[in-house]
Amino acid sequence: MSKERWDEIRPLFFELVELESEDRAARLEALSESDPELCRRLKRLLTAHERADELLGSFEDLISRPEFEPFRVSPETQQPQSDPHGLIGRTISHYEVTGLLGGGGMGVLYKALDTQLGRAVALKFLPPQWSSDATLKERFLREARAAAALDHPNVCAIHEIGETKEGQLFIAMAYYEGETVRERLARGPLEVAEALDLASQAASGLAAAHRAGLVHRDIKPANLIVTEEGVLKILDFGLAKTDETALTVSGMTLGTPAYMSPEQTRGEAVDARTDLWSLGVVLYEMLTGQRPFRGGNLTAVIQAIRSEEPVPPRQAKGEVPAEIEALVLRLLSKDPEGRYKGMGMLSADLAASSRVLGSAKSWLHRLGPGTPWLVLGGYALFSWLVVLATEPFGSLFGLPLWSEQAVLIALALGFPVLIVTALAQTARKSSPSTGEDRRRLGWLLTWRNWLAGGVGAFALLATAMAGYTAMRTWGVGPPATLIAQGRLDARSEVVVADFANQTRDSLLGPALKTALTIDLAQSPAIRVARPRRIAAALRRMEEAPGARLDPALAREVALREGMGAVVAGTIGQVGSGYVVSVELMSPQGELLVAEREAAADSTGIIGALDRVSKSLRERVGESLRSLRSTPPLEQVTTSNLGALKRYSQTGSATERRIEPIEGALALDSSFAMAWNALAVALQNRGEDPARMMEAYSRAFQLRDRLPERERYFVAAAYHRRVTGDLSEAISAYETIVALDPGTEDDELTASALNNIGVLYLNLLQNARAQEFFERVLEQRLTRSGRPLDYANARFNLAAAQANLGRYDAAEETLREPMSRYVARGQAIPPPVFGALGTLAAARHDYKSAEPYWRTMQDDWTEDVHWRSEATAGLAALAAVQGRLEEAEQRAEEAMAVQNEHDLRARYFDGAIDLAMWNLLVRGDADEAMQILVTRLGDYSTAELHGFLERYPLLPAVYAMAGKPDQARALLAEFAAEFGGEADSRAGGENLPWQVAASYRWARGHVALAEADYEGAVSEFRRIETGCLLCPLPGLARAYDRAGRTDSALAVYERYVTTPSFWRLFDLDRFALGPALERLAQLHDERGDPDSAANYYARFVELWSEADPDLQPRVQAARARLEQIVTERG
Amino acid sequence: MEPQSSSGITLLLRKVEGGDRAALDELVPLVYDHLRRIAHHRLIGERSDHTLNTTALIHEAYLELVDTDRAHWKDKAHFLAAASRVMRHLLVDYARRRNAYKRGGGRVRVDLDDRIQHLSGEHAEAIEDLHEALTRLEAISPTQSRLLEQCYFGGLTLEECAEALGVSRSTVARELKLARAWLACELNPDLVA
Repeated sequence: MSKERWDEIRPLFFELVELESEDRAARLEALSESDPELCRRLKRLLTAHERADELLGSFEDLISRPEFEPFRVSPETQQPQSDPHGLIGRTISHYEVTGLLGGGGMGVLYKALDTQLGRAVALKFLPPQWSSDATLKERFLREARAAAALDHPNVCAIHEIGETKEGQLFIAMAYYEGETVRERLARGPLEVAEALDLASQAASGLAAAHRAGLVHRDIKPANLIVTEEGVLKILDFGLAKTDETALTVSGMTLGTPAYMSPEQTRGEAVDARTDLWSLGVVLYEMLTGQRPFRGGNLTAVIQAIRSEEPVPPRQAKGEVPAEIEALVLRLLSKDPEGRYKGMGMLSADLAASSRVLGSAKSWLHRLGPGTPWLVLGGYALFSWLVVLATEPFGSLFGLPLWSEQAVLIALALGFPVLIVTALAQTARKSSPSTGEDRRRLGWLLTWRNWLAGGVGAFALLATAMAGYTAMRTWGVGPPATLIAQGRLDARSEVVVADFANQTRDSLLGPALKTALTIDLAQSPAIRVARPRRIAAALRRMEEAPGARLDPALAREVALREGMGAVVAGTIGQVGSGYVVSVELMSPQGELLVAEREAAADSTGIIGALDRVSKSLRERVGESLRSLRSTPPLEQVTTSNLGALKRYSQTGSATERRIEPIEGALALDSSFAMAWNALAVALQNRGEDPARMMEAYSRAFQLRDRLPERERYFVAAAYHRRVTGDLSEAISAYETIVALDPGTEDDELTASALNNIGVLYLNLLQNARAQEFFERVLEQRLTRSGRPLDYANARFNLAAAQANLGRYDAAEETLREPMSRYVARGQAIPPPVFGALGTLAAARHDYKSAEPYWRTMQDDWTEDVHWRSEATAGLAALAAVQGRLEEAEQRAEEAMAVQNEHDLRARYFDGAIDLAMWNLLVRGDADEAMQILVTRLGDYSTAELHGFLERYPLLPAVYAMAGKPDQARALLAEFAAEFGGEADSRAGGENLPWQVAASYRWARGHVALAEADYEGAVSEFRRIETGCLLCPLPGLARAYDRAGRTDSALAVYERYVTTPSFWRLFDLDRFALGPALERLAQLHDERGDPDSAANYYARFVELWSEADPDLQPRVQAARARLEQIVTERG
Repeated sequence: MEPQSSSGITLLLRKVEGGDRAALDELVPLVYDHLRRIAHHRLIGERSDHTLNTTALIHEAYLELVDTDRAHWKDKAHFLAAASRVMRHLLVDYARRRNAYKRGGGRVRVDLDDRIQHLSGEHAEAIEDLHEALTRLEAISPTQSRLLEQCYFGGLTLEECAEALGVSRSTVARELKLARAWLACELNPDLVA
């Protein structure tokens, strides 16, 4: 359509739309002749106009609902005019209009005098269009007549329905002196009793109307007037809005929607129940002084009415009784079905509430002012104290878990008795007792009896608790525990099966299994089978390692491995809630315990699991005291289910993935266990040391949230890795051991003992270290038949013994398990060979050492780690004997494997070895630097720093190669990563201790390269922990170069004679040969030919098969040795 | 865009009232960002079963952006008129993306915002239909197109429409009758007189 065409149509449409249908038809007829197309268009538009609501209704609803409902006119336009109809002073029919009462969209209200009866009346003049529209008028008259027929004290009486001479409709109704509820509310909320009284009256009037088939539809405070006698009258019956859409089109004002029911705001058909709603809103407002549904504008109010739940009246105003709140909320049910079935029922309820209120008031008053509050307050205080005391009391005496609930119930029962007693007492005071009184129960209600009853109740409770505990322990009756009944051994090993997950969230199963395992692991009554052990069992059963551990498979594992029971959990979803259930069954499938708890939503799952697990532990037979001392799971782990899910994705303890742990921590930064896991994982991988230390620090700060033993493990790790306070670390481990002295067979206790030993090894206190390793192995012996892997403790013990010079004892320690392995037909684990080789090398018995590594290399061709370790061992053996070419070849071989399999730390060691051999043995600095560049050039600084205590070897090589400046720079950069000083000359005190030792060692070599011998001496001498021998060759060289021959000799001798298990790998592979050679020369120079001959002989023997390029040095030594021998005869 | 101070918007509204129609166009971008933000917020809200209540949203924006103490109630009409235009564009934008998704329009795209799922397909189609009809109406009768835009997308009352368009309330009532009739014809091509 063109714009021109439209401009023709527009005025015609406006003209036609105002015409009566006959005139319109005639006009259209006329148009049709001159322009049929125009006529067709107009007809179509007019039809569309008439059916617009029908045609556009659902469309407009879709676009956005509220704006097409009857609230088009803003409140500002509602101001009543002074005399809109100009009636004041006029007489209409027999009414003399005296003044304006009010006005609004629904018509204007005048006060008038009935000249016939001489009484005041109210005249309501209806909007003119009501009179002109026949349908509206008819409907109005029908309703008004019905209303006029109503005769009820709470409904405003209608005297007459009339019509002015001008044809305007009016209603004459009773005029009441008084105020509307709206005016009353302007002064604030009503007393509860008053509000109920008014609501009750309104309900009564409405009930009558509803019986007559009349629905008011516009109940609001302004329509309720309370006369001076306190009688409520409902106004405006029959005047209520009758047809929402009709009014919409005419743009009528309907005032505030605040009292409209949801169905009314939607313009749906309404029935009597809409009045129930509106009355509910009025009652709410009377009680609280506030409207339940509020908003800054109409649409917001409507939105609130439709979809928001009102604030419960008691929250808005505390003194509203609960039953009245329930009543109001029932009236305000969004669904009409949810409201009262009829006004009659509401009336009854309101009346009952009023009575209850009346009587409640009276007994409170009867107690006399002040008394009730004193009694109630006293009881509340007492209850509070008892509840507070129950928890610590329960933990101290190990009371049953239901004690708290039982005490609460006892207190709750005492309360009504207290009230009744108080009433009876007051009644007795006010009226002297009669014989009749005595015959009733009233005489029982004395304060003394109340107190005695209370004491009796608590005594009964105490007996019940004692009986329960006794039955538990003795295995009698339902409280008997499984252990007491002999159905499960104490400290049985249990397998936790994978959760049966019936929810859509596939991560929930693993998360709950993780959490359940954590909780059960805290129980001293059972032992949770470690994942490693289960994995090994599954391997033996030839199951796929990743197989789902369903209850059946778990039982099979338990049966084969002789474990005590299987725990199988299920998580199911019920609506938006969850059900967590856990079953404990014997390996044969007998159900021992079944527990189940529900959670309202996902945030309650961890709590539900905690309750299930605690109940299970109680049934098994854990002491109640121990159970009570276990912190809740949400505290031990996290209250954030998402974080727990992430955490459960991190894999087994030995090979945790970093990413999910970081994810869990991002969701809950107070997840102490995850911080610990992160620290351990980073430490195991040798990655990001700064982050690792931060993780340990965070775990340490949050350690109060952890289970008791974990807490001390974290403290120990923190002191070991972060503060370097080794004695603190030792005492933390000792606490772990002391926590459970009776059951040292626990793996955690064992690892605590082992770690104490390791710390003493680090502190170079070998004798004490030896004690602790022996304790670990003793436990191993008490549990013979169980092949527990305490190999680490065994190697550590051998190391301590070797360090003490007890080589034979060390060898015995290492060989002891070999016969058992052979007897069982099992392969001897590779570390045993490695350790034996290391021990032989520590005794300088290289000929015996070699076969161990050869066997290891041949037996373990499949295992890259052990094979490369064996190759590296053979390389070291060759190197110490001066066979550098062979050593280099083997080292390259090991490094190729290590490089291929990403064994980066070992590869780094290999590269440093290659450089050191060139530097210290061959004296070829250029070649050494070349090696560093080619072997380590691809590594980033961050990766290299991740090698921690190994890293300073790199700058040390630079220093030894005559590049002290570069060495300094590298060291400063390294120290800065740990927040250490930027000044490279400072001592690196901020470094973690295990790093500090090698850092100082490197600094010693820097000083040596700078010919600062005193500086070097001081650096080397400050190394007090870690490696006993490591500083010695450097220190000796410093003395030697400074010309302090005696000191140099003493230190060199200490180096070659001090027993040390790890000496081959610590130093000997590049330092022993040159040290022996130099020792011989120094003795020779000092004129001690006997000592010189001794060391020449050792050197010549050691390097007898050395490489050809080293042979000149061997020959020189041999020549000198022969010379001395000849000279000395 | 810099967040606008409420007094800035109020001043612009003053200018509109003073007859500066260009100021109305200046208002649009100022209101745009704010509305887009709260509309997005609402659309990605949890209650996906509800259609967006644009009126409530625009009124909220008015309360937030305009210094209501200093603003005349006529300012509100101008503000709401500008907001209606913004809301129309926002909703049409959402609807198009929603509809494209529903029809599998063109290539598969995986980066579609989740939030558009919260606009029901029916709603989205209604918005597109209305937008296209209003564009057609604009060619023959810009005032009526504006009027419908204000009613449907902004939920303005007749008084507010009258103020925003600078005509009397009765004129607005009359024009709205015709505009709705026209729209009813457009949306129901099979309608016979």
